[in-house]
Amino acid sequence: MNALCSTILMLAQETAGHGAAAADGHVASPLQPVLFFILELGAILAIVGMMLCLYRMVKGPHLADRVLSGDTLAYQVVGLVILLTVRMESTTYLDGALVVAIIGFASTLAFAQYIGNLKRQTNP
Amino acid sequence: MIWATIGDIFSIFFALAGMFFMFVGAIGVVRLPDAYNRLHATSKCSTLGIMGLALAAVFHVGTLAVTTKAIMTVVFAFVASPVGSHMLAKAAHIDGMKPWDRQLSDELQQDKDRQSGKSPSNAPRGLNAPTQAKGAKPAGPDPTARMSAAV
Amino acid sequence: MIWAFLLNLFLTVVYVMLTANTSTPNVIIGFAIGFFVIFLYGLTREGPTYPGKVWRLMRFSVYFIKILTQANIKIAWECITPGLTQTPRILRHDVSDLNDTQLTVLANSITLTPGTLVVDVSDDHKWLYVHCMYAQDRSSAIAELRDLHDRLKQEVFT
Repeated sequence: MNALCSTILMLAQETAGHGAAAADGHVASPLQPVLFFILELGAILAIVGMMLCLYRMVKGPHLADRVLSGDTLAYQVVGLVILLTVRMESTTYLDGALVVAIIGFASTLAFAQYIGNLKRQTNP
Repeated sequence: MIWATIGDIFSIFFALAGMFFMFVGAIGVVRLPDAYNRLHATSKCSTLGIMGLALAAVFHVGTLAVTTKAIMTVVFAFVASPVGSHMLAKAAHIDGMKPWDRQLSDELQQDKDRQSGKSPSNAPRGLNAPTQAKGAKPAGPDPTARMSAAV
Repeated sequence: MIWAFLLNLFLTVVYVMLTANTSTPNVIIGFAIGFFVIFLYGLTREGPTYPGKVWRLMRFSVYFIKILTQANIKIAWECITPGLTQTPRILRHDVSDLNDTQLTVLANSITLTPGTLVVDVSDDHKWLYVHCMYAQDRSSAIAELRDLHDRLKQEVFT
């Protein structure tokens, strides 16, 4: 708890100095350091979630398990990029999120076609 | 100032909700027993998780470009995720993935067996088998209807 | 419905180009004017009006978001508490009264809701095979699907 409070205070000082330096038009709310702390927590949670997906991808008993863990991994990356957008307050990163989502969807469809045709090829 | 504060309150709430559902989706992918159950966890990750995080971005940044891109991302996730889940589940069933041993019944397998003329190989098994036998079995589809073999 | 909405967007674009002002309030004013014009046009015709259709669609959206959140919290609780209590089952659901577009929308809505997942569609498009996560009682699981089915048919495709 003590470490958490000191982290919040440190973030508050950082953002206060940053806001004073770049105070041209954009007003920062007093809740912004709390939001930024939550965003860093979210980045850690997303990375842990990606590791869980990788565990399922390595261990999965069936091929479909591996493919769906890859799908979930793509969505975790999308969430991470959106968190980066909120942190940087920039609009360009959301294009990256959309591209990752499209690539994950296309790979899922390709692997689903492959799994569906697998049994017909081995024993017709 | 006051609008930025209100926007940040909403942003914190939606960011927390989105992060929670993302992480729980990843936990579900690890913990749930077979591929059908894991697909439920994937759909949770891609609906409320992405929607919460995108709403957090909209409330914090709040420009028109971010709003449009966030809406595009959410709409794409809502259209793409059920299509992917459906194709993956269908492919897993065609490939003959062994379901969880506590699954109550598999009426798709029964219909496939009936159409191919085999005896029902997928009899109810596991713990709760009598519950399935107790209920009246509904009328299945026409046995002459051909099932598609491809995805 | 979809053509009326596209016409509404087209009228908005025309208004914005006429006034040469792309700020957000101006776009909203153009959308409202287009909405009113299409409503006046719809009064000369039979059938449901455009605001009525939009209202029913919004009511269905609120209902869908509600059941989406409920199902999400249920599955999240299943994931984070120890022990597995779900009773999965693949059951068939009668969709012989829907055409192809309605069937696609229904299947996507069912799959978007966690707890239910469309596994297959029979080849004559009469049966939907749904993997339900909580289906200890078969008839109550079917009743939930039937509720979504009826609401979709009444409120979206009138």
